[in-house]
Amino acid sequence: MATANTDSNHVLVQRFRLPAYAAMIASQRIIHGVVASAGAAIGRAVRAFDPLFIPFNFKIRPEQARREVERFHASVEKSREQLKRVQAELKRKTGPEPSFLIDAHLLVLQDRLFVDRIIEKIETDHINPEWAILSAGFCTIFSQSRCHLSGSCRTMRS
Amino acid sequence: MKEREIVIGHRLGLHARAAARLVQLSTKFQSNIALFRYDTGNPLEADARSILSILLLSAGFGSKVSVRAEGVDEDQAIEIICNYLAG
Repeated sequence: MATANTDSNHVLVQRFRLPAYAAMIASQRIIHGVVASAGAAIGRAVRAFDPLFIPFNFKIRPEQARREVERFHASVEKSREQLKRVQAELKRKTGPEPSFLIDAHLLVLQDRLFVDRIIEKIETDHINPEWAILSAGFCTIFSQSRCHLSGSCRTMRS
Repeated sequence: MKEREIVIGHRLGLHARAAARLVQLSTKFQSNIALFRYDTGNPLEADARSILSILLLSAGFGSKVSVRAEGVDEDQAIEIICNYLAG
């Protein structure tokens, strides 16, 4: 049984008045998957997302831009905290070498080229931050290693 | 201002991890440091403190890159950055 993150989704539904989205998250679903391994496991069900799959792109009103920029900043900050936690965990488990890759993600989040471009798109194109991140074209840089700007994309959705 | 051309010696080119290390190195200097690629159709410029602009250079193994440093510690900056890029 898979359940959606109902609290944050409820906020999204209220804020953006998305009835179709509301209907989707209101139901719980049994998911039949591919038999990838023998046996059964009981545990927490996690919905896996394609990092580039953005569930909603929409235009905003000019007066909403400031709030959306603030939401973007908050999400960047949250992503940074999550990445630092992952980095600390990696260092503890596997040593410093793999954690250097996390540095690249952290540097992207503080890169003015990235941050300023997203804000510019929100303010001038009047689109939501998720759409701005996708349309800015930076995600493709990391596409080969599947290391998209997933932190901020994902945090924006939660 | 100092400028020096260097051939990328990292086997995987300036990939994410190498670019991150370059940004970390560059921020240790006061000088402004920029990378240029003249071997593409349009010359490309990257700020050495911006990981995205470095990745957008798409400098693979064997690419020629010019490093330009301008500031009080430009000599040291050029030396260390070029040594790193040479691999």
